[in-house]
Amino acid sequence: MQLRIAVTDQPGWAIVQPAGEIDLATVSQLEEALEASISGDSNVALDLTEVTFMDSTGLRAVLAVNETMTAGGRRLALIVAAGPVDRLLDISGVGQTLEIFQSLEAATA
Amino acid sequence: LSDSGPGGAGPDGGGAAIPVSGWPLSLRIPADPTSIATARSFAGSIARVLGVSDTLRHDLRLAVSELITLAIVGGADHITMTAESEGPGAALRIATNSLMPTVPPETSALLGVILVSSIWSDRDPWVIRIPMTSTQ
Repeated sequence: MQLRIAVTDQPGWAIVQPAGEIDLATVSQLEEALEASISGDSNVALDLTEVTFMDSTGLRAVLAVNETMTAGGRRLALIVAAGPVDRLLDISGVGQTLEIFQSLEAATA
Repeated sequence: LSDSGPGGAGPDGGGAAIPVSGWPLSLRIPADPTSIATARSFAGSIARVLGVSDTLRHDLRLAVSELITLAIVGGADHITMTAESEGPGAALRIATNSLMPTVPPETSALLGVILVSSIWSDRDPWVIRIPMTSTQ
């Protein structure tokens, strides 16, 4: 399954919404979208609710962007639904280092 | 053999389960990033045939994705996955044409290795033993 990524803006936020599977074959698409989004001054909301699979390659990309954002005093908010991504964050134990929300509205409130 | 989600092959989906006499099942794929999804689908199909929980199926697909990725970045040309009946469950073995990496070939692979070891604590990380009814 290919990865599709939609990027939109709302006041104060860049919204990145990938849909599909994130692994070694597709992670470069996510990295490019995130790099473009963090180049501005906005916070970034990464909506992973339509991601049907993600492994450590995707998680590394998220952690790298989170480090950049927090170092610059900005926020990376993750929106995660119950399922494979939620399970990945649980297993990896990195959930406590990330801002995780259940909806885009809650993340950008 | 299908990993098509609810309704797919397997006792939990109502489709046609693969009879035990169908074991072993084997898949040979090029060591290319585009093969990782194929490997996950194969593993997911095995999980459905065994009727394991969704959580265990997610974990299996994650472990396979990490191991296939490790084999690819480790320089393999092709990868063979073989699933065999083992007790009430199955064993999924991953082999390549080259020596299997025993340590991460690069630091960036470490997170994947940690994930696999946290899911399956087998002495041989290239063999994933899948219980039929319980999650680990």
